[in-house]
Parts: sequence; structure tokens; C-alpha cells
Amino acid sequence: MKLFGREFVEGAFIEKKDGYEILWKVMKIDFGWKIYWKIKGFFSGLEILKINTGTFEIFPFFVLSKDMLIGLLSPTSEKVEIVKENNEISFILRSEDDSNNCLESSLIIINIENKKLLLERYKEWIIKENKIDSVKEIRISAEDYELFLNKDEINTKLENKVIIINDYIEEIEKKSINKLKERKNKIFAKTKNYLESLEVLDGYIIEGTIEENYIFHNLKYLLLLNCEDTFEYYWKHLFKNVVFENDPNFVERIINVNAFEKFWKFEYINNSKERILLEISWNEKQIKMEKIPFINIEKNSVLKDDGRIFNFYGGETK
Amino acid sequence: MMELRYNPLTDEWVIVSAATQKRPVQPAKTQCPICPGGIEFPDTTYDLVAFENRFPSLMKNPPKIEGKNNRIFRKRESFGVCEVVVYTSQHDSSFPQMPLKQIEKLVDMWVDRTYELSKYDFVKNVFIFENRGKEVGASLPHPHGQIYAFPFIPKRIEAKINSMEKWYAENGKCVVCDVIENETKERIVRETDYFIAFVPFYARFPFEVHVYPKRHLSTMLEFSYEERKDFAKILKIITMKYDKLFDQEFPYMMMFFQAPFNTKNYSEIFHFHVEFNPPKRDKDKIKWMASVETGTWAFINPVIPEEAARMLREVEVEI
Repeated sequence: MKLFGREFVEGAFIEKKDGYEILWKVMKIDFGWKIYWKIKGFFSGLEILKINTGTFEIFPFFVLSKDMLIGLLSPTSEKVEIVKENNEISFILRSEDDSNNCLESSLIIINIENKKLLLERYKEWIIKENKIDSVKEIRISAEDYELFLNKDEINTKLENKVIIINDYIEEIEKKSINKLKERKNKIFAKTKNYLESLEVLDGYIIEGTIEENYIFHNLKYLLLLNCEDTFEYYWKHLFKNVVFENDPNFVERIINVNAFEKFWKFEYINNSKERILLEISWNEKQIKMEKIPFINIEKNSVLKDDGRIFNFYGGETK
Repeated sequence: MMELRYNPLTDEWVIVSAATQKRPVQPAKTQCPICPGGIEFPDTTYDLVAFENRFPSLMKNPPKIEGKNNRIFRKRESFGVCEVVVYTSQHDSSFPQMPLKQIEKLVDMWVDRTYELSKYDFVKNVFIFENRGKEVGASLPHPHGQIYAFPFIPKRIEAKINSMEKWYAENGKCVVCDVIENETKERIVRETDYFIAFVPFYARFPFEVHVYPKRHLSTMLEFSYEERKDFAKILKIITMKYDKLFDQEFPYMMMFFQAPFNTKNYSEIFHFHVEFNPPKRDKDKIKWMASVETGTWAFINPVIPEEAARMLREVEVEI
């Protein structure tokens, strides 16, 4: 692992390069390391971190293997790209601004042999670093929201509405977004990078992968709008926490999650109060759904002559 | 006579039920109605059982109300369910004495009863509890608890919901999650993998203990299988500690607080929890729910919570 082209070691470092200066700190945290950097001056592309590809999967703002997660902690003013070349993965900071910069940001390295815990620990750090609060399920009524089919239909004169744009925020003019924000509108849209859109969007139209949605579940308003097939419908349905008032379905409650190397298992209670086990294989695009009992012991209900029901339980718990 | 009457002074419903007067009080062991061979099980035995109370205060098919409602004197039919939950067929056992496996089965039964009762549209709250000992009005010594499936949200639970909503709005997180994060060692009685038990900073009773799941979940339906086993374990530990504290069968009220059903979704703000409210303030002394406590809901706790926690923590038990 290389950090700014040097060996990865704990401590604080300053390095002067041609036209810019880098300060970085490597700090030990529980289960890993936090890396902070500050860069002054001009550069066009700068490699922050380089690792061997190993079994890492690449996501827009983090990489994940079965026992390690390396991820950015907050939106960056300049774009950080995660690039795979040959047998190496690099986090590259690209600057499009030719004036003198002063950029600071952080990333985290977490080392735990459990995919779910890696994502949860990462989520905790994102919360801490960005001082964000969790959100609860909301319902929005027809009078409160405006639904746009695409970016060209945006009316910037709207006020105090929930504006749902069925397009990527990255493709919408910043000017239009700022106008809508000034008029106290809440903006929901698709995004290519949940972390980068943290401050711009009030809510996301669910996109991306299960991992990204698992991290942002309860951190942002997540709205289900686009489902191309049954597979998409099921996994996206799990994460939504925004519902339209006329939606007859309650939000299903996830009660247990297990993440394995090749699949996820979600246990949830559906709107008919049934306990469902959903196994999702992301690579195979397959879903297995099974109704499971609430209890592990035997039960026998008897109606007595006086109309009372007696529920007998017993046997061995599993 | 069985009906719900509205109190406009406190905005709460009172359950009027003449049938409950007929409940047997402390019968002899040979007369125990819930032992195998007793009046409820004349020709059956059982492992665990939950059944509708012979002397209920709420019913699935309550009698029609008599007379007319008016603006001031409002009444409603007593929809609801009152169940007796018998933990074991062993009359002389008790919650702390029961094998852990039996308590694990009991937890499963509580989950299933919550699930079954929440299916009734009229049920707004499923309240699971145990009154242990004469000091808190237990009418039978045979190990058992009860469940009230209320058709309304009882006043104290409403107060909790209002406070939890307010905290969430002001702090952006569940109040119980916040308490767990900030709880200090001096009040913790015991911690397991998934639960924490402590004498709360705000304890009202001298040896009050609260049990909170570490993970945010709002009802028992959300317990994973591992959490159920762990829940059985921590309840056994706490009740064993209670019995060993003064070397006597320690009376208590054990109450489970779950988020409401069939109404607004409170799952984000409501954190499932258990309260043990024991009435003892010393080996031979009772902390009574007297005028101040009953009339005003203001409590005077004569034992410093941190000291009570230390005493309970130092009681060693093996399960």
C-alpha cells in the first residue's frame, strides 16, 4: 500500500512538490486507520493511495474486500476517482481548477473479517465526519411534491416543494439546483455517487448497489421510483424510507441483515405482518424469497367450549 | 358491566370490568387454577401456554355498551385481549429458577403472542408483563405473566412516545440509542452481546432496572433468533440477582414496552425496552405507590441509582 507515493506508515508528513504542497496524517483508529490530507497549490492529477487489486470490488466512493474497506469520508470539492490499472487500484484526485487550490479531505481503512460490520463501521464514520443525523420514514402528499420526468422540465420558480427529478443530479446545471435550494425546495434525484451528493440532495432515488444503499439506509431519504425488473423491485423496495401518501404499501421493516461474499440475506416483516427471508445474489441477479415462521417452537391452538382460545407451546427451540 | 369510560380531565380511557372482581386470590397449591389438573386444565398438561383470561377486562367480542354516549360521559366497547401466560407447569418454580431453555421458549412464545395479537386491527398496543409477589398484587403464585392487548395507547406509553418523538425531533436520533451510547459503568448491572441492563439515571423505584436492546428495534417481532436467546439470558440474570440481593423471593413488576401497532408508524423513534419496577427499598421495607406517586406521577427515590446498581452488580449469579 502506498500513500502519496510513499510507504504507508503512521505519523504526520509534509512534502513539497513542483507547484503544490501536501500535508498528510495517518492515525490509528479502532479496526484500522484514518488518513487526513491537505493540499495547497496547483496540480492536475494526484495519486492519494495505491493498493494491490486483491479481491477488492470497486464502488464510486469506496473499495471493499471480504476483510477490508477503504473509503472516502466526505464529499470532496475536487473529484476523487477510483481507478483500476493492471493489478493495482488507485485513488486519484483530479483537479479541474487551474487556480491555486487548498483541498482537504479524509479516507478510512477498516480491517474486519465481516462484510456487514465493515459497511456499518464505515457508515458510523460517515455520520461522524459529516455530522449527519439519521432520518426516519416519511410520507409525502400529492400537494407537496412535484414530479419531473427529466432535467429539462425543471421549473425553478417552485417554492417549498419536494422536487423529484428522474435524472442524475450530476447532469443538471448547478445554477438551477441553487435556485431551487434558495426557494426552500427539497430536491430528490438520482446520483452516480451517494457520498458526493450528500450536501446537494435531500433525498436519493434509489440507484447503485446494495452496499451503497445499505450504508445510506436511514442516513438519507431514499425513494423508489425506477424498477426495470422484479430483481430491482425487490432489493430497492427494502431500502425505501419515503412513500407517497397514496401508496397502499407500508414500508417493510428490515429486522436482520447478513452479508456474505456472494449474497445478502435480509429478514423483514412485510405489510401483511409476515416474516420474510430474502436472499439476494447480486452477481447472478437472483432473488430467493421465503416466508419463515416467527417462532422456533411447536404451537397448538385449541378453542374451548366457552369461546376462549388456548395456545399451547412446547418442544425444543432450535 | 364491561366498558371503556373516557376521563376528559386526563384525556385517558379507564377500563371498567366487574368480572375481574371474581379472580381467585392466592389459592392453595391444590386449588391452583393453572396447574395441570386445575380448573383451566382439568385433563391436560402442558409445557407453556397462553390463554384468554377467564376474568378479562378486555375482550375480542365485548358486550354492547349500555345507555347512550354524550359529550361529557363518553364510553366505548372494551375491545382487546387479556391473556394469561403460563411459563411452566411447575407450580413451585419461578422466573429466576426456570432453566434458561424454558425462558428461551417463553421468549419465543412472547414473540408469537405479539405477532398474533397485533393482527387484530383494534389492537394498538401489546403490553406484556409479570406481577411477581403479593406486594405487587399477584393473585397466583404459579409462575405466570399476562398480556394486555389494548385498543388504545395507555397514558404512560403515550407519554413515552411523546418524549421519544420530541427527542428525535430535537436531536435527530432515538433517545434510547442516545442513552445507551452515553450510559456509564457506574449504573450498568450487566451487559450481554445484544442487551444492556442498568439502573437508569432516572430510576423511580429503589432497585429499578431497565433492559434495552443495543440495536434499535421497536417491537419483539424484530428480534433475531440470537437476540431472543440473549434476551432470555439477561432476564434470567437480572431476576436471579434480585432474589440473591436480600436472599428472598424478590417481588417485582416486569413490563415490556413495545411500539404501537395498527396506527402511525413509530418504529424509528420507539426503542423496545423492559422495565423492572420492584417495590422493595430494603430487605423488609416497601416503597409504596402512595399519594404523591399515584396522584402526581412524581417519584421520590430513597436509594441513589448508582448505589443500587453497585449492589446489584456485585451480586454474583451463575446461569
